[in-house]
Amino acid sequence: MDFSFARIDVHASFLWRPGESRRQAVVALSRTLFTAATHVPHLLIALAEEVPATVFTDDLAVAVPLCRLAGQTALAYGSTESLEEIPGAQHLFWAGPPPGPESSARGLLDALVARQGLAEPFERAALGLQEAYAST
Amino acid sequence: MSDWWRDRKPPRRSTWWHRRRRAAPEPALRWAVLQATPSVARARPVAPPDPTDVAWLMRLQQATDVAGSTVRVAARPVTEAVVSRRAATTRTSLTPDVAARESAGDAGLSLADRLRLVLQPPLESLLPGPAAILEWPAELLPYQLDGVRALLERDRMLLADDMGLGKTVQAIAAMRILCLRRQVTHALLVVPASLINQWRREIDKWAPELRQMPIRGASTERAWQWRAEAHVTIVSYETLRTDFTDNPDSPPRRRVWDLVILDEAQKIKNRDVEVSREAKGLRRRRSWAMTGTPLENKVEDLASILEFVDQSEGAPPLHYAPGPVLLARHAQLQLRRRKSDVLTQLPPKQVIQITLPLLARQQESYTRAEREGIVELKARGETILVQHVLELITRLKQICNIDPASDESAKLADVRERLRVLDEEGHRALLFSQYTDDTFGVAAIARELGEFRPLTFTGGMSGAARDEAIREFKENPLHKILVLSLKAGGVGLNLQEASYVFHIDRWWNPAVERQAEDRSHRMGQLFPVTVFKYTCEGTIEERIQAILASKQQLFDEIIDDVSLDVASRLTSDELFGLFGLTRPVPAGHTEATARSTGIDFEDRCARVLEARGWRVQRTPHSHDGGVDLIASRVDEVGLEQTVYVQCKDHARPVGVEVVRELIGILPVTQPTQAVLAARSGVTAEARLLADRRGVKIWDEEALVALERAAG
Repeated sequence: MDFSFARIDVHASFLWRPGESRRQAVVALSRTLFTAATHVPHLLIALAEEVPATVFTDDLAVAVPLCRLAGQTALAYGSTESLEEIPGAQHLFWAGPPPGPESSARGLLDALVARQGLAEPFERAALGLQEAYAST
Repeated sequence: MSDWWRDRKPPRRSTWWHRRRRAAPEPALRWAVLQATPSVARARPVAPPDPTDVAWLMRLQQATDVAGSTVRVAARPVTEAVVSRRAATTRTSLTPDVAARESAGDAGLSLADRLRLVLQPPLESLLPGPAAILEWPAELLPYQLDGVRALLERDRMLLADDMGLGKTVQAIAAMRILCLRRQVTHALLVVPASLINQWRREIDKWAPELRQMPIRGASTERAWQWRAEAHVTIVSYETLRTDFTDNPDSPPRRRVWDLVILDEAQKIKNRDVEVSREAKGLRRRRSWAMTGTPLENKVEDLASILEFVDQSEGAPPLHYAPGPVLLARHAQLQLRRRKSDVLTQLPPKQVIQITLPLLARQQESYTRAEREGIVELKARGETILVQHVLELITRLKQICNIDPASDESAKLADVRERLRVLDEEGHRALLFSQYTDDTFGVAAIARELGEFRPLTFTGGMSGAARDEAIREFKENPLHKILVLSLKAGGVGLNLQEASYVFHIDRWWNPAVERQAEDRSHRMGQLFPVTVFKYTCEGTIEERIQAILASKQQLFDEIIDDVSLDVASRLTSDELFGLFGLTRPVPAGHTEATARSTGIDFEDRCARVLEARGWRVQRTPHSHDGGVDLIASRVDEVGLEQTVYVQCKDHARPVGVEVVRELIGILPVTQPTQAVLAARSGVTAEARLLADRRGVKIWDEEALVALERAAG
């Protein structure tokens, strides 16, 4: 498992439209993460409440299955995304076609769902970041 | 490891710098939009111009007259041109206005201007059409393209197309091209408040790269909004009136606007109102006025609008008097196309006049109100005014809508039946009323027609609420009817979703009614439009209608599309005659008094004051700063008192703006009183403000009483 992180300061400037600076930050961080990746991933999962749909419909194109994960709270999803409901009252918004039943991405996804670990990396990352940056 | 992802768009590059790279000369010239504005991103190269195009070759020859510096002009693909600083541009390639500037002095053309003129793409490649290098959301109709070309060629224009022909789109398209050509960098758009959001949406659609800045909110907000660097600043007439002050540094006066557009320019038809003076006081290089009814009541309306259109920057104010000069200028400045001439594909409009008897209890209320009203008028004797007659007319018209005593309404019963049929057939409707209250007007009508899930639209609603009502009506077909006030909903809206229009009461002004009907009968309407106009039998509505009809025929023969409202359309004698009364002349006043000029009226007010011991000083008749008389006297305890008097000898009640103007000029450092002398009284809103701010109102009745008291 690779773990990579980068940090970007988002200036709360009136020159940015609301939400636009955050979106640009997400794009920049994603670009950094992808550039740093040493392997081609089988599956990409992002948190829907942190990553707007437009990041992968307007800004970045990925050639691997990519979905945004939404929890129990219903979130609006992009017009080009497709919705998949999964156990645990979670939703996946697929940016492209969902992976086929025989694909490695589907196998990985099913395994994570079965272990209820789909959101775990995000929770761990949040705890780690909080520990690292709590004082700033 | 980046082949599994990529940026959809390359990182955005700054528009104000780029790496210098000297490319090898290209074998053929390529063509691009000249300006390095955001529009460049939307522009796409097209084939080089036809080498047989003589005008193009002439310009190219001049551009490549090797004598000066090399200038690179745009994002790639570009034309690299070697341009002579001394090269003269051919006059035939210029617009009339630029040609005029050049003839005034060649020194006025900078190198940038020359480049622009020489290298800018042909107009046809910017206009919507098959050869367009700009993206447009839709095609324009041929007559609209003609309108855009006319606007581009003229600094001054009155666009007076029939309602619904797309004046807004033509203006936006022309403004967009002017902005792309850098001929306009700051445009000011003055519109009725209810239309600001509609203009914003249309600009978003037709000129998405133009930055807009609506002026609204608190004064601190407006201060920075005026300073914002936007292509288009959008302001309502009301806000312009507030923010345009005598201070030459007040926000609207601070800059010279490249273009000022007045939408619904009939708002400045009266040259004496504040907003009219202010619109004409805007410093500007181009003036466009837009209205479907440039002449509502009298030729002076047209004169006032043309004074705005025709005024040159820095020149003294124009004053056009009715006559051949005005008409000649009008012919040169106005572009007007009629719907029947250019929109032959528009579905027909059918107007049905419905005359109904009042319902039984409604008739009782009406008869009682009319009888009591006439008794009341007669009891007023010499103090009776036109205003009192108009008040009675209003009261009776309101009962014709809904009887407040019984809630009976012949009109609404008929509307209800028709709506049920329309609902079954899947149609929707608009209903206009001149009243907005919850007894006789929009609110009451919406309540009575509750089964059709009506939405309402009135001037009293906030801008956001009005937008929401329109959006909801357009998107939710469960709302079968939209009830609008004629004043707020009658202009500017696009409501093709409805193909039936009801006029529940009559404004007595065909132009205003037609404007309202054209919310539905306009481009985009797929069905024939049916308009129902209601009149109640044997009532005041029918009597006024008869008088107007006899005059309308004569009027139609003189001027096309002109209309009058009731107060100016009917003479005082005719108004009194509606109730079998004759206009009285107050004792001590001759017929000449009744027709007295403004100066006579000032003298009369001065005499009233002098008779009560005031020393009266008259201000100059023009440039009086809003005060006609300043009266002073020392009271019983030795204090000097001062009264500022504004005299308004108008045929109609004066509005709240006059009270506001009077309050505005009162000195704050000394105790003063203010009097507004208005022969025909003031509006309810004006009286409310006057009472609140301690301004006394002298109407004819009060003046007569004061004169009697003075003996």
